[in-house]
Amino acid sequence: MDFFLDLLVGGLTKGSIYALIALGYTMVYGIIAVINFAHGEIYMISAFTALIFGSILSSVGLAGWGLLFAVIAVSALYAAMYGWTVEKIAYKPLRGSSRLAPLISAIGMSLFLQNFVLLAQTPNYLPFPALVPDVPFPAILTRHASDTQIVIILVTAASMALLTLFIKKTRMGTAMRAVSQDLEMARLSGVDTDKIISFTFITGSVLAAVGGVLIGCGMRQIDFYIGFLAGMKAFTAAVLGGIGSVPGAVIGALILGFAESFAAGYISSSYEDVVAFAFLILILIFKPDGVMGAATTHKV
Amino acid sequence: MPKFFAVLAALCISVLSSGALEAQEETLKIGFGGALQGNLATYGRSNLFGIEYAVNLINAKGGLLGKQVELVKEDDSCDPSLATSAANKLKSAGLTLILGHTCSGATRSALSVYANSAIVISSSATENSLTFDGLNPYFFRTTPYDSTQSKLQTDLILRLGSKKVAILHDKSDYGKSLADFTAAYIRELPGKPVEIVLEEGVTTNQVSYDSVISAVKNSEADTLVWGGYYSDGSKIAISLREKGVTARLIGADGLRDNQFILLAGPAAEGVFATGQMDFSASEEARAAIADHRSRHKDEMGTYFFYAIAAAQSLFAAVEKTGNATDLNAIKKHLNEDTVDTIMGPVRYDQNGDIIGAFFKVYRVQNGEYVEYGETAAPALPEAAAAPAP
Repeated sequence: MDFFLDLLVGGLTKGSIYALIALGYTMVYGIIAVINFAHGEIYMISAFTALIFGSILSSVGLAGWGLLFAVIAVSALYAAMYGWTVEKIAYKPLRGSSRLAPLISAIGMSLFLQNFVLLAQTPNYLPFPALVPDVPFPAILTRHASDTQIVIILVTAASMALLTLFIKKTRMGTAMRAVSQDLEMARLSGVDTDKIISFTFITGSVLAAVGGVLIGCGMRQIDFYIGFLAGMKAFTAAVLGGIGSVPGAVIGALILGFAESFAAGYISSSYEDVVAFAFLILILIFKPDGVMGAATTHKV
Repeated sequence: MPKFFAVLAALCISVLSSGALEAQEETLKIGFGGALQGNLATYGRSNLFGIEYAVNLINAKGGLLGKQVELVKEDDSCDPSLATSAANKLKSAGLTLILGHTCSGATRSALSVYANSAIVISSSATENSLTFDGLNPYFFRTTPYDSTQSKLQTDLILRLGSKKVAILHDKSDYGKSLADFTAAYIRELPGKPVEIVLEEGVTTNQVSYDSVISAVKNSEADTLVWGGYYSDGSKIAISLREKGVTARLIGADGLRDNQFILLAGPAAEGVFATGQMDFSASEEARAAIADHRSRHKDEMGTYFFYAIAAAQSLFAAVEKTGNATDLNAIKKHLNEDTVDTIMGPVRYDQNGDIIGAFFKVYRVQNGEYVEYGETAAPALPEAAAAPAP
């Protein structure tokens, strides 16, 4: 039972990180039907930003929760700027062109950002400071989860709640939903679709930034390549849950996290990817649009 | 015109070789077989640099058996079929002393050509079976064989009194073979004092290693052997500590890197790793490096010191024997006499592998790797010397 709970918490942590990144993929896809492959790099860049500002802010005397949230805020701001710029440079000029063009552009952007960090920062692994403060969590929690895991799960849950509130309750959120349902119709009804698209990129990037800081705290080291694998897994999670669906991305991410964790624990960590992707295939066979995906009719 | 130059060149070569023929009486020829061309030429040249240095050194001191040493070089490009013809040339020239070859595969096919007609000392062929299969009694090598570190790790596990061992690797060639060798050594221990409770490959660059660490915790292992590099190794070290797992971590040279300590921080404390000794600190080694730099632009490469030591041990054994053709006597001296080389005092075991502590166990103490002291410990029985993973 102890082992089971350990794996459950491990899966939940993994799933939380995947979810934070997967949301960015799914939201952008929901609105402009483009797979933003540069999204994983935004997450990587926020981890680097967090590392840099983490050491600056802690040298001016910030510590504890204040430091963690200040670092998240700064990284989120940077990530928002990157997300906004990527959209303006790589996707906006291609709006209305063939579906393949923005995909190639996305891959190009991803390679560019990776190599940019490689050249501007370092090709080596960098140690990431322990930003999560020591919290006297109740013993019932710390028995199966480390402090960092608890913080990752809590911060993710809070981010999800805020995002849901934002989408459901604000004017901007309503406009985003309108654009995702029908971009042309929303524009005709007076929604500034360019602004909404930019804002979607910004929202996705902010969530990725939260993920980037949290994963830095969890792994305690980063390099320019961390965005690729995490981005791949998160993209898988988004497809699993039904790309375009916000709750779907979260559910897909959790399924993937649990599948990997239990496979590593009960079968063998050699096979965790095999099990996770076998799950993906199984679900896509029976529900081709993902767990929460809306069944779409395709014009032939 | 090009034809003229070709004829001229041919003339020059024939003059040179006839000169060599005349000088035959005064020189002692030693063969070198290895990669001088092709994509593995760096390895071969690294060997050659070391051998040439040792030859120059002994020639400056008056040579071997009163004669100047002359090196006969044959390229095998690390290709087993080219190695056969290179070995044939050296054999038909009547050479009984060979330094080489560079790669394990090429060495194996060259050895079948020499067919025990020469003493062969390699300074870079590492494949276990070359010495372990007992087919080449006159073959020796100065590099540690592939499973040296695994043997050392198994020794350490016994020394620390571990009962349950978990083995993880990063699924790379390096990491997996290391882990497989260690597992094989542990399984072959007489009396089975150590149990392997977990043996798995780990996907690298993950966002979290918590699940596999939970599996380690659940297996109740007291020792975790990591076959892999420092980047994932440091994440595993941190995860172990965060999850409160007390199993000690043992790695190999992939972990014995100061980057590991930098990345793992306090979690690195107390971690064990086997690693290669640094030969370049001695006065002799510094002289060799300086000499190399004055002659060549290329880096001296990985095998420089191993190659010098191979040549030095061979020269010493031949000098003691008094001739270059009594292979059994030379072999006896290589096995029994300890010779001072650039790598320190060395001799060879019955298999032909070098004896000396060239890999050592290190442990992180106060943020740096320090050699882990020898304690009264049961040495690994000879029976477990040749596993077949």
